[in-house]
This record gives sequence, structure tokens and C-alpha cells, in this order.
Amino acid sequence: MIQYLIIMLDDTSRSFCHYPDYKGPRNLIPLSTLRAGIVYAMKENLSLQFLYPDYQLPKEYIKAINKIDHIDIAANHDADVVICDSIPPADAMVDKTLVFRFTVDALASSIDSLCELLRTALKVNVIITDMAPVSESSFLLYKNSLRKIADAVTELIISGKIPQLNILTDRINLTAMNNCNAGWHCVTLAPDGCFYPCPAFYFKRIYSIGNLKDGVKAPNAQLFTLPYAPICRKCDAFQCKRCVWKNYIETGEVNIPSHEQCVISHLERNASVQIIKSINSRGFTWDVLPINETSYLDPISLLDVC
Amino acid sequence: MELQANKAPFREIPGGWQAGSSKSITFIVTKDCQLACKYCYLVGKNTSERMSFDVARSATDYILSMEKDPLFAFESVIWDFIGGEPFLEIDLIDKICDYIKCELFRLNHHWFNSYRFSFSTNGINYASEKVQKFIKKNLDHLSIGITIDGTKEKHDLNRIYKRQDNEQEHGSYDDVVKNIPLWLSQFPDGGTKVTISSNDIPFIKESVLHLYGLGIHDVSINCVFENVWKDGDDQLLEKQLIELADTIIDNELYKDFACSFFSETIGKPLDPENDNNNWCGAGKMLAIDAAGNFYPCTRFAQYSLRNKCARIIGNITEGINRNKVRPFLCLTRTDQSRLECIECDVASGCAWCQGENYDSADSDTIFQRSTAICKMHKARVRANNYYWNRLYFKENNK
Repeated sequence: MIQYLIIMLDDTSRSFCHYPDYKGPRNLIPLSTLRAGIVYAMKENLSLQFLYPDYQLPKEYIKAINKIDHIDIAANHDADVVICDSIPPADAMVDKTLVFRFTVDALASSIDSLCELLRTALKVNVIITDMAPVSESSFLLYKNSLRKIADAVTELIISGKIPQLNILTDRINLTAMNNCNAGWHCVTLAPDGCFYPCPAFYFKRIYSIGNLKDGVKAPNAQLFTLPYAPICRKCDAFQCKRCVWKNYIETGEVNIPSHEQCVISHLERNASVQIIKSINSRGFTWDVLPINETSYLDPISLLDVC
Repeated sequence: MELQANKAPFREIPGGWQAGSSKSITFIVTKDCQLACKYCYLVGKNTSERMSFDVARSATDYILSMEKDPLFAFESVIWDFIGGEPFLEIDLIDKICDYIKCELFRLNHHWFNSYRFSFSTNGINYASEKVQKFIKKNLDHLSIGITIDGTKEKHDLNRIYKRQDNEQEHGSYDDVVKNIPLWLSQFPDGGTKVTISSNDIPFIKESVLHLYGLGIHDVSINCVFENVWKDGDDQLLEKQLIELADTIIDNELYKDFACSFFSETIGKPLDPENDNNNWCGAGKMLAIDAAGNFYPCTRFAQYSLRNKCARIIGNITEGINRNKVRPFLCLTRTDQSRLECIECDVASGCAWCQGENYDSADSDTIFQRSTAICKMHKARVRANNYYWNRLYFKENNK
């Protein structure tokens, strides 16, 4: 069931996820489309999220947006979800929700400052942008980065501050899959007036799933759901992004993740296991559910396939 | 008294060579054919896309270098050559087969002496000197099926020659049937594959009997998977099959001849967990085209697709893209079927073509099963039940 509507205010709205920023010309959503999208969300009981470009919107747009409860996602420190191009001072990000889009290499060189942010920010979300194809050396680098960040998270928890970092603490806090859910719980209204599972599909002009006149009508909508994802439904890397866009690009199907997505998510999952083990080994107790260790990094091995 | 399966007094369609333990590798050697069969799913046939030996050699080198890889870890291999009409490229095929044999030997590959070269041909060139030379050279490692659809009337209804705009329609029956005795002398257990489309239904009974009369003991026959079926076709099919059943049983043809329309295993419910395999081996097979691209099966190459883009899973330069294969490895019956199919009381034996599923799906997915064949399967099941009830009664009351 759709619960969230993301409205892309411009083609140059900043990326907050795996897809790259659009480098083409501005294309502001028509005001009438924006207003119709807001009304659509109200009638369908959808929570609204607005995705902003880097330039100032016309006043009438701001006025329309501010007539309804919503979340702002922008590369702007005043936004509800702040897309960060660089790592800001920790003191300036108190109780903020932040998104960082890192390559594996960039994450490795940003660990110390990222860990500083964990002390003050409400939540830090790290998106790995070069997920596939990933070399074995990149996997190793990511694994090492996760270990270093996990050590910092462990120290914070022991000191009494429980940070929120999607790639490490989400798995500890979750009891079931909680993924991106594009096309299932969340759809995007693009400047062309059409719905897409997420902004990434809009940029490729594929997989339109309806429009404001006819509503959301996704063909084979069930394939966006977890029960129809043969690998993911057997998996317990609950924090995995399960990015349906990357699935589609890498494997040709929205319900089948790439090997790289699975491995990255399991490296994160295993680092989460290490946090719990470290805390326990130092005589502290943390009231969380245990996470089993696994012998695999790609849960396709749980299926009886070659 | 019930019949024991191992004492069955009836002939059954044999399983394929090394079924389940062989890797199937298909060379699309040409997209050309002498014929323009009306039901042919190959919408992009042409005379220009012919495989070069260099492409075939590179593909062979890659495949043989993957001996230890799980995707290729099969006891045996079937090298399949298709078109269009494969025997249009007999010189190339002969060269490829020689290369494969030499490389298997040189590499001490475990497929050496556990391989087959397989062909499905329209039979027109079968008796040619080059084809016959190739057959004699490789006879112990060959499987060849000739497609003949039945009576001249039925065969020529669909299997016609390519023609220019003003040329009259010209069937291929006469050019095929003359080669059947030679083929059966070389492959006494050779079977044929008959395809049924809407217009063919009235000819099913006489066609199967005609093929038996030609000495073909195993007739595999299926309704096309495309959405071509008209109102009433299911009743017509049922009527034809019941008449066929009566003739087969009255004349005790079942002892020496088999028709795949009748099978003891079809028409039963299927358990969602234990009977959940995909129907075909798409993704576990590998097809290669003239450009050196890899496909999960030939039906995913562009010349087979009406509505969708080809699903390329790699190429001879970069090898297999494993991410592109993952969806095919994960496919199960229930993941691509509607609830109606999952809960169907007569689900067993209801086939599907993965490529046709993809081509007719509402989105770019292989996870949507086409159900165009549903009513035809149900008609087949009714006739099949009739057949076995009559056959068991007859055998048990002798």
C-alpha cells in the first residue's frame, strides 16, 4: 500500500539515494502539477516529501508546499533531511537527519569526521554510490571502513550515546526488513506529471506507473513487494536498501538484487554483529535482539540454485 | 488390478539425452530459413546475421575455460545448433564441431566423450551430400529431429516457403517427407515436434496418425504459447484428442507409439513448495548469437521478441554477467504465477515459455506468467483423463 509521495520539484532536484545527480538543464515542475500532486496526496492519505533543487523556488511554490504537512529533502542545512556534499561541523548538525552519498573510497577517507557527526546528529544515512560493479578490493576496503566506524559506534554506545547510522545501527534496531520500498510504500511524482517508483526511473523515462489523472497503476506492482523477492524474503540483512532501481539496472528485475548489493549489505550486517559482540565482551549489556552469524555474504546461496 | 508403472504396456516419450545432467549450449548459427512458417515465433529472421567461425571459436574457448564454474558444472554437454534453419550453415557447423572435439581432447575436458551435437531441422536439406557427410562423421554423438507437422494438408497449412510478393503459397511437405525414411534409418528412435495453432486443430488426429504411419514412434506436440486462441478452440481440441485417443486405444497403437498430448502426470494439483520448479532451463542454458552475445535461451534474443528488448547476459569478450543471470536462477513457478494458477486443480503439465512470458508481460519482467494457453491445457487434461480411463479399463479387463 502506498504511504509516501515524493514530489520532485525540478529535474535538478538533488539526489538523496543511489542514482546520480542530474546534470542537465533546470525543469521546474509546473505549479498546477505541484498543486495537483499535493491534492492527490491529501486524498490518498499519503505523507509528502519534497525533493528540492539547489536554487530558490518561486514564492508561489513555497506557498503551495507550506499548506500541508511535509518533509523537505534538500542540500540545505535547514531541511528536514539534509543532503550533504561535504562533511559539516558536528556542532552545526545537532539533531539533524543527514544523507551522505559516498563512494567506497570517499567513505574510507571520511571516517573520522563522520564519526564526529554521530555524536550530534539525530541520524546519519550513508549511501554507497559505486555499488556495482565492485571489485574484491573495494569490498575489503568497505569492510575495513565498517570495522573502524563500528569501533567508534561501540565506544559511543558504551559512553551512553546511542547513535543512529543506517549502515550499522539499523540492523540492530530492526526486527524485519525495512528497505527503500519504492513502488510499494513510496512513489515519486516527477515534473512530467507522471508517477515513477523513484526519481531514478524518471531520469531514464522508464517504468512510469501512472499519472495524476489516472492514479498509480503499476504493472506487476507485486514485484516491488518483499514476498515477491525470492532472495530478499529469505534474507535478514534488514537494513539493506534493497534499491529497486539498482536491482533493475544490474539484474534486469526490480525484485532481484545484484551480488554486490547483497555483499555490501552483509558486510554491514556482520559489522553490526561485531558491535553487539564488542559491547557484550566488555561486560555491558544492551537490550537488543541477537543477530546470528552467517557463513555467506550473498543469500542467493540460501536458494537451491547453482 | 492396477497397472504397474514399470510394466506399462504403453510406449512413453523418452527423456532427452542426459536430461537434468547436461549443460545446453546453443549456437544461433543463422537467422535465415528457407521457410516462413506462419506460427514461427522468430519475428526477426534475416539473411545477414550469420555466425562467423571466429565468434563460435571464442564462445567455445570461453565456455571450455569455465569447466569448474558452477554455471557449467554439468556432467555432460549438449551443443545445440539452431537457426533459422541450422543446416543452411553446415560448413560452419562442421568446422565448429571439429574445433569443439579437438579442444575437448586437448584440454582433457570432462565433457570429452560426454557430449551431443543436437539439431532441430526443417528437413529440407537433410539428404544433401554435405549434411550426410557430417552425419556419418558424428553419428554416435548426434541427436537430430526433423519437424513435420502431420498430413500434407496440415503441414502445408503453416510450413510454407518464403516467397516474394506475387508468388503463390508453397508448402514444404513434399520436400520434407521424402527425407523421413533416410532420417529414420539413421535415427530409428527419432521423434518429431508438432506445433499446434488455432487453424491446425481440426487436423490433429489425422496428423498424429499420419506421422505414426511414416514410422515416427514419438510425436511431441504442443499448442503455441502465444495468445492466438479463439473462442471454441478448447472444445475443438478436446474433441480431436478424444477421437485420437479412441483410435490409438482401439488399434492398440499405444504399445508402439507415443504422443506427448497423453501423459499420466498431467492434470494434477501442484504443491506450492515441493512442486515449485521453473518449467524450463532458461538461464541454466546458454545461447550465443552471431554478434557473440549470450542469452539465457534463444527466445530472449531480439529476433525472437515482438515487444521487448533482448535480455543479453554477457558476451564472448566479457563473459557471463552473473547479475543478469540471477533472476533466471531464482525463478520458481509460484513467483511468476497468479493465485489462480498456483491453486489450479489441474496445474501439472501446464507449460510455459519463459521468453513468451517476458515478451507478453505487462512490464519488463520474466516474473509474469502468460496464461494464454490456460483453456487449451484444461481441454487437454479432459481428453487426457478420458484416454487413461479408457486405456486402464481396457488393459485391466483383458
